[in-house]
Amino acid sequence: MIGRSRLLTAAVIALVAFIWLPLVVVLVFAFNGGSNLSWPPHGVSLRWFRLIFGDEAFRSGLKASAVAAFSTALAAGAVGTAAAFAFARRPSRLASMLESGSRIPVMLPPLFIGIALVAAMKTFAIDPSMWTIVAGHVIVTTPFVILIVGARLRNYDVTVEQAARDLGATPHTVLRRITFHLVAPSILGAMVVAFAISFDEVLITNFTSGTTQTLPLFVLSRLHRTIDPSVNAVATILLLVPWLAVAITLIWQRTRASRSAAAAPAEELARAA
Amino acid sequence: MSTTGAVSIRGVSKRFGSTLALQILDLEIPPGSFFSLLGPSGCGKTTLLKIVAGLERPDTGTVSADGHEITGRPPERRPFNMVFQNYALFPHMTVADNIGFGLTTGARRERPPDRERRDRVAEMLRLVRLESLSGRYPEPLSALDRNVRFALREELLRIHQELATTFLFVTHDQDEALSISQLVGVMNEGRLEQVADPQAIYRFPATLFTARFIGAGSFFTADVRACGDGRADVDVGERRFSASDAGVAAGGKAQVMLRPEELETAPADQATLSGVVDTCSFFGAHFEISVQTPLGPCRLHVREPRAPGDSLGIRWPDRAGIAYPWEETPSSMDGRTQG
Repeated sequence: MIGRSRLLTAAVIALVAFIWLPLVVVLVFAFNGGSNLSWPPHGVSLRWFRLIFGDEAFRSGLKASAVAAFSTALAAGAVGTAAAFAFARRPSRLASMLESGSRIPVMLPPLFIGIALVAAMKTFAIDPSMWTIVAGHVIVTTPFVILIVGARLRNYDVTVEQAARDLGATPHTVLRRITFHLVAPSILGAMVVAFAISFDEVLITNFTSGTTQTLPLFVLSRLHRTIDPSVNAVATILLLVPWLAVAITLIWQRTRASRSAAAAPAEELARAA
Repeated sequence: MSTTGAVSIRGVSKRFGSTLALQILDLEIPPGSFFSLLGPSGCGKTTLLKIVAGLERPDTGTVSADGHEITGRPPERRPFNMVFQNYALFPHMTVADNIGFGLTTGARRERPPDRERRDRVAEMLRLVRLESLSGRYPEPLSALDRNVRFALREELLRIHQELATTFLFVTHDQDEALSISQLVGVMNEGRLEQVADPQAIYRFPATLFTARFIGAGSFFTADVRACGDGRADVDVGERRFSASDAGVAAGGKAQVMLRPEELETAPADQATLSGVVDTCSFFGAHFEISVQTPLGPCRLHVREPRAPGDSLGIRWPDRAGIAYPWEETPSSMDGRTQG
């Protein structure tokens, strides 16, 4: 019995190591002082970060990715929240059909969406730009927003809204002072998920970006030429930016949740991250 | 007692899909009264409350408050407030903000200034003795235990006396309804069976449903021999006696209800009915025993416990019970609930 549980422990450790090892390698080499990717690394330094931040192409890529991710989060958050409200509060056969339809982008291969967008842009003579990048990202992230916000809207107690009406609040006041407050953590969580997906989206972006180079596209083009240690620094940034966004949101939701009994669905966000 | 707060409901009905939640119904709630709607679950009492509050629209009929018709008014423009069964507290607001919410929703010029609102919230917290929780956030409360329910009942009565406003209370618990209300409306299948004060509801239930739903009783099938002056002479088995008439016809069949306290145990030679003890339950002040007799099961109260299987003599008063027109199938079993 003991032998078997030890075996199990070893297997689990091996599995976790297998998952985490590449991540650790990237992090270690990102802070490596040596000039090639050979083991062991030579000392600790920030030279690769200095190098890439000195690179104009990297800076504009980071900026483009940040702009795209923020815009996507805002647009998908707005559209997805509105749709989730409509689906949850105005149940009808049409609404449930539309809701099922809204999940389709998750099931489509990104490559297909990319090709479809290129075809559509050609047909309607739309030039690739930041707008088209964001449009592609909104298509793939909105279903997640609908899913997360919709889940929250469906599992909360509508009698609090009736109580607010009973206490003299107009439907608009109820939305602003009750519903929005209770759903806000989920909306924010959904927007962070959209941000994280958008920030490192590469397949669809590849089709819609034209001359704009986002950070993931920058990495790909650089890897085409040569693998130098600065790629590790870029990868670290690609990893840390969404994590940071998630961490900030989690902390905000936790403090809110501990302050009030409005249990923020922090798990949703943690899972998505 | 205040002179405002009269609610009148006329011809109100409501259908949900294929179920008729409320049949055409009229009800007058006097101003300043403590009125309870009592009935089994699904009888339409909550639907009626929601119609009064404006959270449901009736299919037909009107709701008026102090003579003004308010049927089409949204809940925020009605002069009533509702306490929800699940409390429906705003989880993102403090206890004080929850209480003060209603003072912040009106048109800007009608809202009291912050200072006045704080004072009135503090006053309300004092009224319910929860001053210490003012800044806390509401926490979910599980079902109340019996002692807390009793305390809450007294609290409700105290607040009703203090505010002198109309209370419309919805419950399926007859003890709760009978103990604190001035008027009780018994509902069944979307209809009002009876509206009366609690004593009348208990002592003279107007319909067989109310008789079965309220309190405990023994029900016997009887033949009606004669009726008049509000009394009916009925034969139960060999025994003839005079019961209150609740709408029976001479020559017809009736169901006679006797409250447990109307029947007494008696020595065999004085007994008018004999039977065998079925069950014996303890209720603190008395024991309630159910006895199988040749005429059917009956219930009575005794001071000392009886063992199941004992034979027992029962004395039946000459004037007792209420005679109801006989019904083939009882509309529901006697809905006895204790506590």
